[in-house]
Amino acid sequence: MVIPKAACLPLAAAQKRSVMLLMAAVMAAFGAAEGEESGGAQPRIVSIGGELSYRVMQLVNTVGANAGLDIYVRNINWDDRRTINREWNHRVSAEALVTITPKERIYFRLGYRAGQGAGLSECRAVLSNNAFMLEGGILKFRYNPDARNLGEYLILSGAYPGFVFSGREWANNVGLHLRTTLGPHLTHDVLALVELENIPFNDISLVYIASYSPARALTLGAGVSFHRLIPFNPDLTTPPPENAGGEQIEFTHRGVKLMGRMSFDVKPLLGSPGLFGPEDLKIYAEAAVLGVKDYPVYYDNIRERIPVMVGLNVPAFNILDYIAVEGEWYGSPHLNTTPLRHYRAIPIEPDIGDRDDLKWSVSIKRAIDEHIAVYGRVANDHLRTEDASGGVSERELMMAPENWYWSIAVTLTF
Amino acid sequence: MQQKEMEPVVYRNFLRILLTILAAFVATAAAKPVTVTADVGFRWDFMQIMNSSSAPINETSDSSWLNKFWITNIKSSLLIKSRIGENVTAFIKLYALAQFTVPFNNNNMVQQRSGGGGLDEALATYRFGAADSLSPALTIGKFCFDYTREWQRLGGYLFRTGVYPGYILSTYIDNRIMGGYLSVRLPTTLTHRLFVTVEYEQKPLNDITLTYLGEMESAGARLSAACMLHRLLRTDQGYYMYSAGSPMIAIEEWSDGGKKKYYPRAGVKLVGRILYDFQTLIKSARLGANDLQIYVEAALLGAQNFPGYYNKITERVPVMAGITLPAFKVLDLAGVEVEWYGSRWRNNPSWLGVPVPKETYIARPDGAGYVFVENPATEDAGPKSKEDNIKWAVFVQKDVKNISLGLHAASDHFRAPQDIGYQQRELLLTPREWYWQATLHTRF
Repeated sequence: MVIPKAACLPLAAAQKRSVMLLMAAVMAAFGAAEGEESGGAQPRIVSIGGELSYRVMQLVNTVGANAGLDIYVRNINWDDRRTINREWNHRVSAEALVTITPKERIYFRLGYRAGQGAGLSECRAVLSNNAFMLEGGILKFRYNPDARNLGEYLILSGAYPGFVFSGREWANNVGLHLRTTLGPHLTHDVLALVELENIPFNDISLVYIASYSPARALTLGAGVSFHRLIPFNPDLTTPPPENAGGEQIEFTHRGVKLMGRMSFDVKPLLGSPGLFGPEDLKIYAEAAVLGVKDYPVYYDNIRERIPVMVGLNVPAFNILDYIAVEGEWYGSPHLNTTPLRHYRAIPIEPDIGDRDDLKWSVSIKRAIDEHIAVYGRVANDHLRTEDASGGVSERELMMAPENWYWSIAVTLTF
Repeated sequence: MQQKEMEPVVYRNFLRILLTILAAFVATAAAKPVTVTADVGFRWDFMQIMNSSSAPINETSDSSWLNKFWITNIKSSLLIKSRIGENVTAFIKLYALAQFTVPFNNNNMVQQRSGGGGLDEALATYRFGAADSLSPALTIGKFCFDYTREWQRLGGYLFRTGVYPGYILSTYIDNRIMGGYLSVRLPTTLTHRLFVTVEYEQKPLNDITLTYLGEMESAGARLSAACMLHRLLRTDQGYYMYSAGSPMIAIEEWSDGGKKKYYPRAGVKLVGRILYDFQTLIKSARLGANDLQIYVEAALLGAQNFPGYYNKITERVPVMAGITLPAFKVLDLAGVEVEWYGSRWRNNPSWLGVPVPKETYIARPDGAGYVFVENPATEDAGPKSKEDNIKWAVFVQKDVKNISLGLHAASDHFRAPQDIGYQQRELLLTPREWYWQATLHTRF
């Protein structure tokens, strides 16, 4: 678990209805799959859990304009990039989790998270057996368990523009997810996701991710995302052509994203000495293509759409659970903004140039016991502020290499 | 207890805390029993402002627009409590709210409807040593804390006030603090609490405050004394916010040998409170548990004088007194409170972020605002700055099983509710301006 946590989804009423209808459909599918129960109805088991978190953060150096981490995001003044040095932020957040297990292989989970904003953190129905796991609703999904801060590009990103995120433990997605283990050492994840975080909303993406683990020490993964394959409003997903750079060009936010990753544990080569912790000496990497097709003017060079991250778990010798050092290179010439107001790519300021291509992060964790954990981070990453609606700001706070922040969080889980 | 006898206890408690922290870094995971319970709470506040001269924002003339104005708050809460092992307890309170309150801007002259939900409180407590109330405990989170009685309307100055300016909030506003405190009982009749809190409501944000609160209970008397180093650690956000030339935030300055200075919004706050339960002397089965309690509280909102606005210490000393009347179990509570606070200025935390009370109660001739204070050393905020010195409250309460019904009328530091917080402006400016409130509260 890393901090800050993913923003929860402040769904509008219509979107909540969509989620509930989706869950109802999944529940109906479960009912059909299960068939009639012999004997009497099984008792429903309801369990309540929660999590509390206290985080302290200091933006040691940032170019975020008026980027005070107040409760409400202020209007970002694009022309005013006064550096806010040593700005502090304290945040208390909590999550309530309710799990209902009506039958042995089915459960429903509802999570509500509140802190700076508030909203649903998860709302899903899950059916699982030895062969597969099917879930639907608001999902908490990760495909790269090694990445502590950077990475997770395939789903946590856009295409045209290819914005990326960091520090989000989960991708808050709504849709269906099927996981199977067909084939030796293989895991397949198929997802149909509804876009509810970034405009244009309600487009449906199809994602396939495969993970291959021929040995405990090695994992290879690959994935493809048909991003916004089914547009909800085609005119928003592919706006009318615009005049750019003297030519008429078509924009679209649809695209095909590709991902490849690997994870290698060095310890078996050393005989797996007990000196090291389970996470020590893991090397991992991930790369993605955020749109395989070139478009004129803004997206004419595929290398500018390829983020690459590499990570290493430095030996912590069981004093800490992990010390994850990560680096990322992403050569996009555009601002890494989410399209809250603008669909198109915005060229990065000339004085920044390609200085924002490199990001880095050092994350640590120490579990006090099974309920309490302490997390720490020092990074220059894609940090965004959280707003009162539970979302994140469109603009990231770390751009130049000299920008960085640190944070410490204590979490209690029950 | 003699000093020498106390020392081993002090050292034992200190060692307990230190060893626990050190052990945390070498401890291996161990399964602990976890119990979780959930409650649902419901609260309905029904208020009517009977008389207020407070004008809408951007207007300055005395107004009657708030007379007979209704305010409604409907709030539900989900409370989740957990005990983890012997030493850890956690508490999460989430809320959902529907609200009809005073319009925040001048364009909307009817009620403002709002609603929302989120985090009300979240805290965790770790008890060092034996899991009993005598062991030291560390509490961290965002939570309501009050050293006064829960039904008190005035007072509670420690966490409901500021310094420079010394604004006061009424106790009906839930007093949430963010941070933590260490609680130690030594000896058993004396509770020491050391708070480290973070400013998260009034700008500049994230300043850190250190507070000591001591409470002693003996022979029917309860004595509380506190010293707060308000905004002891000031973040750079404060100085950035007050940078010269900012169009939104002006600076009040005074000359001290030609060197420019600024009012700090930080200072030392002292609070003392005493409550005496006369039922210690007058024992009667006819009296209710809350009857015949008398309490007095006083505070000093900023120990240091500054030229200009804060040149008289007596203008920074609010004093309140209250008594619960015999209700003979017909009611569970009936009481009266009064307060005197001789501040010359408007009781608002800030005016557009300006750290000093620049506005008077006097309307400008062109009606485009209030007259500014020109010479704070010799001026005040106008006639109402003296009239607003007196506040009063009367209240009753009846509990039926797990339902609590309350009714009170007051001319206090009333501010319109805004979500689970409050609007900045105080709306009741003289003792003749008042409101009443009915509250229904239940939990199951």
